[in-house]
Amino acid sequence: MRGVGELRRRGMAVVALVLAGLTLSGCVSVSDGPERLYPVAVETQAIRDTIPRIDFIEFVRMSEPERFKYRNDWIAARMYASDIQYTVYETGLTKERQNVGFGSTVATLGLTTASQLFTPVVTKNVLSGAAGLVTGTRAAYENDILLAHSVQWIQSQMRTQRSIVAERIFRGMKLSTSSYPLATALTDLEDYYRAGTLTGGILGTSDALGAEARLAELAKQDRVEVTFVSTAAGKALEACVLRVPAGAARKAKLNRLLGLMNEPDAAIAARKFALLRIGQTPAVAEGLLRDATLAGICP
Amino acid sequence: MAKHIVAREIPKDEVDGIVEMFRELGATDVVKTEQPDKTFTVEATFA
Repeated sequence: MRGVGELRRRGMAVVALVLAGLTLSGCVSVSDGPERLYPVAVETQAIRDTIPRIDFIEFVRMSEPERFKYRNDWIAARMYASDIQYTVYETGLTKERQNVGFGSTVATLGLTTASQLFTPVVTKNVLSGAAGLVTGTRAAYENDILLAHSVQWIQSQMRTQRSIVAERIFRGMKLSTSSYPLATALTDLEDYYRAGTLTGGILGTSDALGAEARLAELAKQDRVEVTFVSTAAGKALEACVLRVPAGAARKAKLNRLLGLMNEPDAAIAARKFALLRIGQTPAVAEGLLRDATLAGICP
Repeated sequence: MAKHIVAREIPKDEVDGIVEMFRELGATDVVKTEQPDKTFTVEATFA
């Protein structure tokens, strides 16, 4: 007759193996997301088939309303195609950074747990040895944790830079083709694409850090005198706060926003916010707005 | 020590929001002044 201890050990071993199996077989939370209506390749090809190659000679011969429509249709299609491709690229980056720590941690935990549960000495030694190997591999990945955080930051910069360029393009799309010529739109589309690349993200990170430093410097000065610059992010941040009726609720919302600025001194945070509103360091304002939207503070 | 922020050339349609925002941020002595070019200058004192 088997002892209670042995049965318990076997039960725990089964549970551990099932859990490890579930984890390693891939949970919904680490998948790419819901299935698309059309695969990316199909959708991209459809866009390619729909929009013709640019014919500048034909474009010049068109009437202004035709040029306006041609330009905007072209921009919208190219932006959409770029967005689809960007999603795939960003998902790949996210997966890469998640898999580094996740895979090695799961493997280590699985092997060391199993070695505690199985009694035969040889099996235990083999499993422990394997776990040691994986742990060693993981140690080699320790540097990657730093990289993973950097990639996360770069990804957020890529999003910010893309939204800044997108905003510029959307503004241009409202203008006539003489004020926002097709060639300028194409340059902006190239910027939009570049903003979504790793290089664009790294450059954006460097710009953002520079902007953060500039904002911190301004907020420290005894007197700041600037020419007002109207920015969409500044307006949106203001609207986010002022749409709440004056009182405790508005104050609470403002404090949540200021809390996102990672500034321990409340007075400095308030001055920084004021500077963002009057158009200083728009990249920081964009970043704050994005964070506020993600946190559900602003729409 | 109090810090002063002065913003020049604010358009009419944005100035009132900025004044209200500054006050909400705890600024005191928030003054808006219309300029000859019809834009506004806002001065405020922050803690």
